[in-house]
Amino acid sequence: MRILRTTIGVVALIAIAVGLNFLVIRETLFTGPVVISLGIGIVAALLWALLHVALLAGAGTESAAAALKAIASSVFVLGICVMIYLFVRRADYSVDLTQEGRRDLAPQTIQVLESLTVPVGVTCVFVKSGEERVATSQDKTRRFLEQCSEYTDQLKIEIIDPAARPERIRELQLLGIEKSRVGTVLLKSEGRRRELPLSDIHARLEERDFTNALINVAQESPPIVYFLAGHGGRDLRDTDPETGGHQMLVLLAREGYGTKELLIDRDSPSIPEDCAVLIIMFTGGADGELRSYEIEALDRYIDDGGRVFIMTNVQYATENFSGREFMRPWLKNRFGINQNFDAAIHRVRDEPARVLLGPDFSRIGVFPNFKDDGKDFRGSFNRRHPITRLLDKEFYWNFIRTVTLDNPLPEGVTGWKLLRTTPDFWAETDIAAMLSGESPQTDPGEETGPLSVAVAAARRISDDPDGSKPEARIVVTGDADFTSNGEMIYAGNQDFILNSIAWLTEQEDLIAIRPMLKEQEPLVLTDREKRAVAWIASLGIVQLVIIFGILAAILRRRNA
Amino acid sequence: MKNILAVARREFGAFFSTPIGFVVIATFALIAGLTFTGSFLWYGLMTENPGNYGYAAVPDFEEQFLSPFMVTAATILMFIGPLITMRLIAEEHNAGTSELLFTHPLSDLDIVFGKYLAALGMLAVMVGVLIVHALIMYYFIAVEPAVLIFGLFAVFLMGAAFMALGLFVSALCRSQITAATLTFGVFFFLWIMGFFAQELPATSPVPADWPEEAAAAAESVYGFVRAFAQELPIDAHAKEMAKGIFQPLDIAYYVLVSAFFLFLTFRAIERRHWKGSA
Repeated sequence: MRILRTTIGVVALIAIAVGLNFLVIRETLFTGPVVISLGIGIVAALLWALLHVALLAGAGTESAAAALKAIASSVFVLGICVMIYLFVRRADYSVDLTQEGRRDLAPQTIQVLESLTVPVGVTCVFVKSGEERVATSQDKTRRFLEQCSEYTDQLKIEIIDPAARPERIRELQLLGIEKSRVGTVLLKSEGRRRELPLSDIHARLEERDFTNALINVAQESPPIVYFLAGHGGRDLRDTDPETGGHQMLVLLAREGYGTKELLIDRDSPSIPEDCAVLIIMFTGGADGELRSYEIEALDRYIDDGGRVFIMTNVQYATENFSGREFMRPWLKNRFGINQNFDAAIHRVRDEPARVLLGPDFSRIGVFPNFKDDGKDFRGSFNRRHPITRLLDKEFYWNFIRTVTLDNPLPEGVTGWKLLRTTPDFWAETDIAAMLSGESPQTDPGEETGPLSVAVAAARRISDDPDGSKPEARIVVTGDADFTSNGEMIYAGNQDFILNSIAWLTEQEDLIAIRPMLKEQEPLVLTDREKRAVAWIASLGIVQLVIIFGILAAILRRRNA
Repeated sequence: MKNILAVARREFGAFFSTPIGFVVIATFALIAGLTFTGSFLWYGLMTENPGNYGYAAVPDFEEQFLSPFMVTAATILMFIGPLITMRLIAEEHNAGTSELLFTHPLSDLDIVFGKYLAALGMLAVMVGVLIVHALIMYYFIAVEPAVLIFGLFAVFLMGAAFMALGLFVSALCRSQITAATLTFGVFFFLWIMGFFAQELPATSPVPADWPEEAAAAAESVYGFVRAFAQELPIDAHAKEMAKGIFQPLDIAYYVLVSAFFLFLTFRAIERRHWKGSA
């Protein structure tokens, strides 16, 4: 019996060793040699254990009985521990005790959730990243959505891994997900959808963005974006990469916005009541200037809390153009916004008018004479405004005019610079010379970078907080070419357009929703502080312990 | 209870009656301190230019530094823990004092819990070192209290599980070296399992050409093994706690591991009562 036990034990060891070798060579568990070898090894090991116990029992000694009792009780206790663990696991209870986790939903969000009458599917596509912070952010997003689902039965939350379910990704038509390091959240309801890409800045879903998107997908009719027509310029049905603007329509439709063209009637100028945002886009071939009756319609629209998105190219609106100006004075008078006759030009580059906008100046270049406190801007992007706060991608704009804000602004107006160039640009004012082919030169009085090239403003219309639209909003950019089909392939351009329209269509009371994640300040240590940290943490404590040890030894010797 | 405390006091004092206790704590303080210093200063450097390190903005301090540091500190215990537990019972056998200890009017309960308490005392001293690091962090950054407190608690719980396991191995061995080596081996196995568990695919790798019954059986076994492998790694639960997430499951894991190995320790030392041999 003992010989049999020993033989079986040896067979078990050899079989397991062979199985493990095959596993490493074949790199897969479920192949014949691996399964057979490991199977034989495990069966032989169990048989060895049984024979061992049988021999012990057969020996008939007290120690054998005690040993068996010890093994049995250990297995029993292990079973109890596993049962308790599985029981607690099944309860699946967890609480996020961080400030972010303890945060209550904003009243506006609760109101929107409780008033939902249609089902809304929320699909979280979480990219499996090796970064712990991304996994944590995805967990926080999941908890936030679970918190939202406590207020309504209409939210159907789904979490998917794009690598594990590519067919679902195709079904959802999430085209850019393969480029994302973090993931995206898609809201869908009765044919309307909004995609909220998770930014690399914070990698989690912001409550304000979610609530805004929820409002948009849950409402019966989609918000309509009107494009001002009648001035030539970009054809939105054209698919040409340089001249066409079809991709912009596709982008807006994908995000659940309706789009229409608007030709303002000269005799009774007005903007339709269902206009959520009016886009004025003066690109190549456009006449580049509004007409007086269009300004009249705009005035009434703004007085009603309207929302406008203006994009113009400088080369199509010069001081000598068609005589009388309407748009620039209107922008200045109503919002304190200046569309300047200049172009942002780089000092040394081969393409001096090509501007790279990005979240980190140190990745774009070295600017030894420029000191940025980082409080208002993250690279090119305003870190406080909803449009640019979470922009995390670099993108190019070409031949940009500067757009600035008056100081002070008109009464009732609040303004923000949204985008700025790097410090190595200057604002060339001799546009005519540039357009005729002359090389730009720095002249006295011309502004140097960073140059403001896009701004946003809000004008208070009514002091009644329960009024339907207490403020008018506007976004003005110094370039319109970034809306061409060719430039719209850049995710940064898409994000900027969608964020601008989201802010323009947003309900004002969502402003009050605080950001979920606190803005982390950089940890700046002086050399002295660094040395203090290093000394205390690495040497100070160690030396203290050693001193205590020496003192203890001395005291022991004395007592002895 | 009085006896348990008496044993604990004696054991705890024994750690410091020779240089071993001071050496263990100093070693832990040095390793944890160097880790803290390097990570903390690197975090500061990184936040000055996050773009150079692949970040679009300054990453959150708790997520990027504090949580990983706490888990790392607990993992350092994997190396230091055996030095504490190896002498708890194995040394008694080695020095020949086990007969004296076990014939003394002390129950097995007093002995095991007393020695375990002493080990926890050493653990508490090491957590005290981490509290100094926490105070440094608190001085420079507004740290989330929940993450800080839970992080330290996670280190303590993980360490307590290590101590219970180490005490059991020490009870099995007659040599301190054997006890320390085996303890480290078991710790390391429990820790490394986490890396393998992450690599196991969610879907079963059973070949499509297998018969249906065999495939179903294989998938069941694979599912069980995968679930087991993902639950067992000893640092997995500490990671969640160190993020400020309170889950009874994580606390239950460490308490149950500690309780189970303390039970096994009882079984191990009661071998002396067994008469005769097989």
